[in-house]
Amino acid sequence: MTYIQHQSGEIEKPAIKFNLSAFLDYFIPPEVQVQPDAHRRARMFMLSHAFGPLLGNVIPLYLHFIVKIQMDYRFWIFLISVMVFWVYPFALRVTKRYQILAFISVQNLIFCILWACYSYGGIYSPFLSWALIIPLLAFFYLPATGTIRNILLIQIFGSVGVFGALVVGGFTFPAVDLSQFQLIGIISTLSASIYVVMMALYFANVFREQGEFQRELGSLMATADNMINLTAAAQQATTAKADFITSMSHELRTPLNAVIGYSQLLLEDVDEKADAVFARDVERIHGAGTYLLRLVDDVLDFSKLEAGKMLSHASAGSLSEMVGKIASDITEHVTSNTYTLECDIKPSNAPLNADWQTLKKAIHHLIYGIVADGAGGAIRIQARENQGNIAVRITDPKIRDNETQLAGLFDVFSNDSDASATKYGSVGIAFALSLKFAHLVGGKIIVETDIKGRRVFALTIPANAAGDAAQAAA
Amino acid sequence: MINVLIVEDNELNRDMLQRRLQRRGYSVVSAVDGPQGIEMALSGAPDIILMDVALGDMDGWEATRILKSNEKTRHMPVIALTAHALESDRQKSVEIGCADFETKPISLDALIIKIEKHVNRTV
Repeated sequence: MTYIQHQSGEIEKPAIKFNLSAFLDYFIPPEVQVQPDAHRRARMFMLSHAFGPLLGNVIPLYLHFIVKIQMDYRFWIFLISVMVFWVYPFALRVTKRYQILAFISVQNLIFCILWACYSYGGIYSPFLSWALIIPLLAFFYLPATGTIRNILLIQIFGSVGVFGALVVGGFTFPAVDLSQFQLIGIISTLSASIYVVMMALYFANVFREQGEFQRELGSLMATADNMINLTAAAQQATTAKADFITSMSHELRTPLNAVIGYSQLLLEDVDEKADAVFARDVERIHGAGTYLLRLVDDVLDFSKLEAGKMLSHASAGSLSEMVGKIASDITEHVTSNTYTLECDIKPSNAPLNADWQTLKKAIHHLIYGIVADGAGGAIRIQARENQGNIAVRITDPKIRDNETQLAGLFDVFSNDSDASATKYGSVGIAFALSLKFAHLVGGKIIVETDIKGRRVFALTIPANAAGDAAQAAA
Repeated sequence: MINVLIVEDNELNRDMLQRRLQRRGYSVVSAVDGPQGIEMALSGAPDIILMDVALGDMDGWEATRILKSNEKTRHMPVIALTAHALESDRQKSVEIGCADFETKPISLDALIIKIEKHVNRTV
C-alpha cells in the first residue's frame, strides 16, 4: 500500500508533461524525433502551432465583436491567415516535410502580421508589436546556421522591407479610425508578450530537462563504471579462488599420493604374510586415501569449470570402444562397492568426433554418485548415437518410491545423502560435477524415474561423424 | 635386470616408487632434481627413466629436452609422471619426445607394463 501511494505521488506530475510531449510528438515525423536538436525545434514548432492561434485569434474576435469592424475581405484574409496555423501540424504528420513547412509557416506569420498592420492602421497599427515574435519563432523552428539562416533573414527583412518601402513611398493604406484600436493595441501588445514569455518558458524548461538528462546520464555512466569494476572484481575473485584451489589441491595431492602409495606397499607385503585383519585395515587406509584424492580432484575440476579454465578437446573414436573403455575404467570402483555394471552399447557405423575425456568424466561422476548410495545392484549403461548426439542412459538399480528426491540432485551438497550413505561419506559434488562436465561440451543430463521407480540419468553430448570434421578441416 | 632411473624431488614419492619397483625385481637408482638426473643418466646408462615433470628449478620437461638433445642419452626412453591427466600434459610429453605418460597416483601394474614395453622396444 505504501508503495502504491509513493508511486502515484511521484509519478503524477511528470505524467501530465509526458502527455503534452506525446501529443506534440504525435505530429512529428519519426526521423525528426531521432535527432535531439531537430526534435526539440519540432516540438517548439508544434507547441506554437497548437496554442499560438488561440492567442492570435483574440485580435480578429475583438475586432469583430467589440470594435464591430466591417466584415470585408481584409477581415476574412486576416482571420483565415491566423486560423490556417492549425493546419500545419496535420500537414506535418501527412507530408513529413518539416523544413519546408517551417519556412512556409514563417512566411505565413510575416504575412498575417503585416496584413493586419496594412489593413488596420499602417505604420501606426497596434499589431506591429507582433512583428517581434517573427525572428523569435523563426529561429525556434529552424537552426540559425548557414543557408537556412540566410533564407529566414531574407524572408523577414524582405517582407518587412517591402512594408517599409510602402510606408516610406507614401502608399495610401486603407483608412481606419485609429481611436477604435486603443484598447486592442494594449491587448495586442500583451498577447504578443504572453506569447513570447510562453515560448521562453518552454525553452527554459527544455534547457532544464536537458540539464537533468545530462546529470542522469552522468550518474548512469558512473553506475555503469561501477558495475564494470564490480564485475571485474568478481571475475578476479573467481580466478583468485580457482588459483588458490589449484595450488591447494596440488599441495594436498602430494601427501595423499604418499598415503596411497605406502598403503599399497603395505598391501603388497600383507599378501605374502596373509594377515587378514592387518590387510583389512591397510585396505581401509588405501580406500579412504583414494576417495579423498578423488574428492580433491573433484573440487579442483569444479573450480576450474566454474572459472572457465577447463577446455574441451574433441577427438575421433568409436562409440562402442570408447564407452567400453569408460565402463571398464570404473569397473573396479563399482565392484568394490557391491555393484556391478551392465553395458548395452549400440555400435555406430562410423567413428565419431566427441570430447571422450569429458564424456568419461561425466559418466564416471554419475556412477560415483549412484555408487555412493551403497545399496548395491546392477548399474546399467546404455549408449547410442542419436542424430548428431551421443545419448547415454545410466540406470541406478535402487528402487525409490519418492519422486521428489530428484529435485536438487544436481546442486552441490544438497542431495539425498540420507542414512543409507556409505562407506565414504555422501554423494558430495559427484552429480553436480557430472552436469557441469556435460555443460562444458554443450550437453545435458535429464534425470527421470522409470516404471519401477529407478532413477535414470539421460546424458546427451554432441558428436559428429569423424569424416565431417576432416572434410571441414580440409 | 632392467635399470630404472627415477627423477623425483618428493622424498616420499621417490622412496615409495623405488621400493615398489625394487620389490618387482628392478634395479633402481634415483635423482632428486633435473641436473642430478641428467648427470646420472650420463654416468649410469639406465634402461629407462621415470621423470616427474613438476621438479624444482629445472622442470621435468626441460630435463627431458636436454636428455633428448644429447647424443649419449637420446635413446633412453622417458616416461613422464604428471600430477593430472591433462590433455595438454599428454600433448607436451609427446612433443618433447617422452616415450609415455603416467598420472599420479601411480598404478604400479600399469607402470610396469609401460616400462616393459619401452625397454623391450629399445633393446
